[in-house]
Amino acid sequence: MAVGTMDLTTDVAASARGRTNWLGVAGILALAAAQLFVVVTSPPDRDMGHLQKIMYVHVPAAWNAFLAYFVVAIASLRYLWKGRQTDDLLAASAAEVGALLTGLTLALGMIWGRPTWGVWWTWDPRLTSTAVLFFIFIAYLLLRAFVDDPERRAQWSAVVGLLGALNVPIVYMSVRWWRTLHQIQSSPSTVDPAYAWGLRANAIAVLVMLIFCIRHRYESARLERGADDLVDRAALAAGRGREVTDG
Amino acid sequence: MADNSTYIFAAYAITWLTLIAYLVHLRRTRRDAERRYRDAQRATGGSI
Repeated sequence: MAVGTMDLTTDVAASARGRTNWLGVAGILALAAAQLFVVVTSPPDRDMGHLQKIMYVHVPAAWNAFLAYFVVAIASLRYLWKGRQTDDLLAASAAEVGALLTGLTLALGMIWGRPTWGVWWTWDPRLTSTAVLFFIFIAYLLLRAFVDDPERRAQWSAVVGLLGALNVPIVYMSVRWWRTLHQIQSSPSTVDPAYAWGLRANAIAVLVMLIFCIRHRYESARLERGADDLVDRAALAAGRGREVTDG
Repeated sequence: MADNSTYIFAAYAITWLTLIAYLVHLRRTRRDAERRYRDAQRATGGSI
């Protein structure tokens, strides 16, 4: 049996029963309410007008992508330290959701950039470093799809996940280290107070969805791994049975 | 100031389309995983 293979099968039943659908419903309702709140109450910006409303979807997506990569980093470190499969599965689940949110961040940034900067894309340090982050985690997911050996897959992806997560501070600080086209980080402390609560509410709603998605994906991953373990154990037992018969 | 309502609408629409598409993907993944686990149980005589 592979190092770190734990008794997943006994946990799987509990995870299958422990549905988290209520969290997803709460997240969707919270997101709809938060977006309705900003669409109705958020005043137009002096320079950008109502285009500023894109901030409420773009910035929370970026923040929560960073949080997802933080989970990847912690789970990957724990895997490399303790070799537990559950940490590998958690890292993979968070990486998938993180990549999705990073892709969304890039798409929303492009939609905002076209009317603001006049271009869909420019090789600005913030945009470029975010694109690099996105492609690192696409590579992470491809790696997981193409490596069959679970132990090797977990080790390699833990290393790639850690390297990818190390890129997050670079992305975050890029607008201060290399000040070019992209504005400095938007946060409740840097935006006008009229926008702060809307930004917080949307970030929290996306956070609820992030937790739901990672948890849901993680439970499915445990079921998949549990099925593989059952088959492996049965094959091992059959092999032993043959050895005894032959002996 | 230019009318940017198309861009704003596109941003929110893409956000919701992405979210809904991923939720559908999650649901399908869970359904397949549960079926795979049940099949493995049945084939190996394992128990939960």
